[in-house]
Amino acid sequence: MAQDDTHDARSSGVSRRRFVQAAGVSGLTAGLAGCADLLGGSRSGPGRTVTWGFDPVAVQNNGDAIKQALYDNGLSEDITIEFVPRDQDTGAARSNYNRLLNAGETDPDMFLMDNGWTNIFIQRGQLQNLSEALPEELISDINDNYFSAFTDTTRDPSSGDLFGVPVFPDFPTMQYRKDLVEEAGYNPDSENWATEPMTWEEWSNIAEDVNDNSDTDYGFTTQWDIYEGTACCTFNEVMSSWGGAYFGGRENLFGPIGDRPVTVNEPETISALNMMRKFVHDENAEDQFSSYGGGFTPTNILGWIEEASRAPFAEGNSVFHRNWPYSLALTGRNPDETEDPALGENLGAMPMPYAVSESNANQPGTGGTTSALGGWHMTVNPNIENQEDVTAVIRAAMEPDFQLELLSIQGWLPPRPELFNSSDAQNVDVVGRYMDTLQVAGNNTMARPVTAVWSDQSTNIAQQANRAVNQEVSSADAMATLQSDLEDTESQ
Amino acid sequence: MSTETGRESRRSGVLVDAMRWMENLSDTQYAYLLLGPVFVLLGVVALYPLLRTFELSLYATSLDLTSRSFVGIDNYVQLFTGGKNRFLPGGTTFLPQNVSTSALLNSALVVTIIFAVVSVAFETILGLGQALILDQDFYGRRWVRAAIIIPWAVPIVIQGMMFFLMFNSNVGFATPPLADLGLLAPTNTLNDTASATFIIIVADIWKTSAFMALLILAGLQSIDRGLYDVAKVAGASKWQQFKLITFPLILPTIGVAVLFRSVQAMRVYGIIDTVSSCAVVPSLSCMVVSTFNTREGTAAAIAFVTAAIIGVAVMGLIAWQGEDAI
Repeated sequence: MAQDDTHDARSSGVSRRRFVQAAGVSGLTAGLAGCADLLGGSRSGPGRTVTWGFDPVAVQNNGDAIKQALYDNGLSEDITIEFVPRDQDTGAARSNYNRLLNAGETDPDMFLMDNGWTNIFIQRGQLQNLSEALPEELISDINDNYFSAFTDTTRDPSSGDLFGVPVFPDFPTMQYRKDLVEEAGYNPDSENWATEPMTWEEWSNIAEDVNDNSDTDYGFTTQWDIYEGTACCTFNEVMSSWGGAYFGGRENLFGPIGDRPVTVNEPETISALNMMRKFVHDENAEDQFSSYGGGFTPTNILGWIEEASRAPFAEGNSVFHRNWPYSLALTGRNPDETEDPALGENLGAMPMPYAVSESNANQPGTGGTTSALGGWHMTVNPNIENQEDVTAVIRAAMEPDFQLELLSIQGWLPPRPELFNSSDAQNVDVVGRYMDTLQVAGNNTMARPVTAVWSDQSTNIAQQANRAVNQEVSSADAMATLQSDLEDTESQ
Repeated sequence: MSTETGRESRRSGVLVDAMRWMENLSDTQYAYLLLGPVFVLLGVVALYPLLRTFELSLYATSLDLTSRSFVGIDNYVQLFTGGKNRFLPGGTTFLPQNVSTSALLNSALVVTIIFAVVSVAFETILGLGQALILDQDFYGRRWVRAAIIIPWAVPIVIQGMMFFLMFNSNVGFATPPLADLGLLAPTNTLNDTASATFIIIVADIWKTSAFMALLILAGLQSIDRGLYDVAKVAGASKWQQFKLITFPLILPTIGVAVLFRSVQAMRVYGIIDTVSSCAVVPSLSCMVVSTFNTREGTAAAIAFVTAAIIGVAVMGLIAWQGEDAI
């Protein structure tokens, strides 16, 4: 009986033979389908196509126009450009490119790399040495005619060789409500606010005064979250404008790691943080800021990055705002022509204020108005098999007319100082109005000190700067902790 | 019939021989034959990466990131002696530097354990409560069951954005009342370690209690209802019914649910990254992700230690639950 039951149970189900046959056929089919992709589904060889890892927003909005601009500037129509949109998050893009180059991938041929992490790829030997691969005339053009501080972020600090070609630099400015400051009795045009930097002391009194006499909630919005932007840029700018530096001044920005002084626990850096505390909390630390305006900046800046801080300004709720040129392009649009909040001609821009002049700065190469240096470079995959075509693309992308076209369609600043003065640049809608200010900003940049250990250091910097301005610890204690953290990361 | 058999017996070849061999296997042998591909797959996607991770953890990247050299177990030694803390994001550490609250909350190991213990404990209690209610007969029970699972269906990034926005200084509404109660920092809330840890634990409890409730509900529904009839006849109170029938019978289910959740909780990363950041709320997985781009050896060592800690915790839970666990 028991035997019969077993037999019934088996015969009513799927036989072993049929099960294995079905599983075998399914497996074989799936396997063949997978192999078919490997054998015939991959992209055909490089041929006359150049693939370029590119900004996803630019590809979506202006991909075809940018390609056409390359052809218009001498690129042969025989070469097809294929943009490969990268991740919007710069950190995720960096991780992806790191994995891809580690694996020896040949695709894409070119990358657009953030000047904040290009140096790490150079240190790891993951990029093509363009000083060797590009013709001499292109290298001389870059050496002679590009913003030198920006170009330095794509050089090997030890050999000086170029591993990338600057595509567009980013220089922040102090943006403001021109209508409100004029109503309050100031005259930005006759006082040359657009090109003559003012001191933080003068600026803070204006910010407090205008904020008190208008219906805005804030006098100033900026970014001070625990993120890369605070370490590379907002804190770096304020510190530098007080004559401070992370590693003993401009000459040590890119190393040598371990053989350069750490100089954050210095009076000038502590004063810079105390000034921010004055702006946010109206705290007069060490009686140093009695002549400054204060209390006009919200504690929200401690959690703000770019767009969060721009929103209240674009909505007309802040007098001053620190941001990159894209903010000029967006906020300066005619409010009647966009559904987004915008200020139109009421938007003004000035260079970042300063506390001490260059000649009085404690750390060499600092002081005066300071704009942090952002921007992107084009770099080349060392595993490419189409050097000639890649060189042709780079040549076209270095044409001044192409760079002006990028400014026009994408709002990306040309990497050549002289282009700022061209009438074409001045005539570009919206951003063209602020070219004078951007010129001053571009001539007074401070690069972030990107080395192999920067990613270990930047979060520590942002965290301590954030905690100090939040009054969790005194500025002096925060900088003492940071001094010790940075020394740890610099030690071999 | 006899003709067919005769025809088949005349066939030969590798395939037919393999079929015959398979037909003659015992049930146990046949079961292992079918499990074979699973073992191969697990070996490829689980065991091999684990061994490769261990191998990677024996190498250190030079400070300038240009080379990698074999250092044996030095990465592990430095991890436990504090030498690797300089590569971890912000002021975070692997082990606590001292026993102060801030030092404990800056330690990835301590934060991971606090998160796992607190969140799993609350999720179990709340899940049990929800399951007991859902086990009752009431009008609209099907809809309530569907509603209770909604948080579990929300993707981590969306869940993270919800809690981020709730406590965001521009648009959030939740910080002022909770700050008045002294539970959160009134400003810079999501960058305050204690506040952000609290918010992340609450977010996890909100999402995952439903998962516990459903698992426990399955256990509740497998209880023979006749037992309650007998208990009623014997005059047992509701509490006695719960204590003597319900709880002992669902304990193995709770054990399995706690096991699953603990493993998941020890690997927490996504909710931290979306609500706050790894520099503010350090977890072991956070430390792996933060270091992997530049210090593969350190990241691999932390990953391997994390796997070992989870393994020990799981074995501890299984031993505690006895043979009924799995």
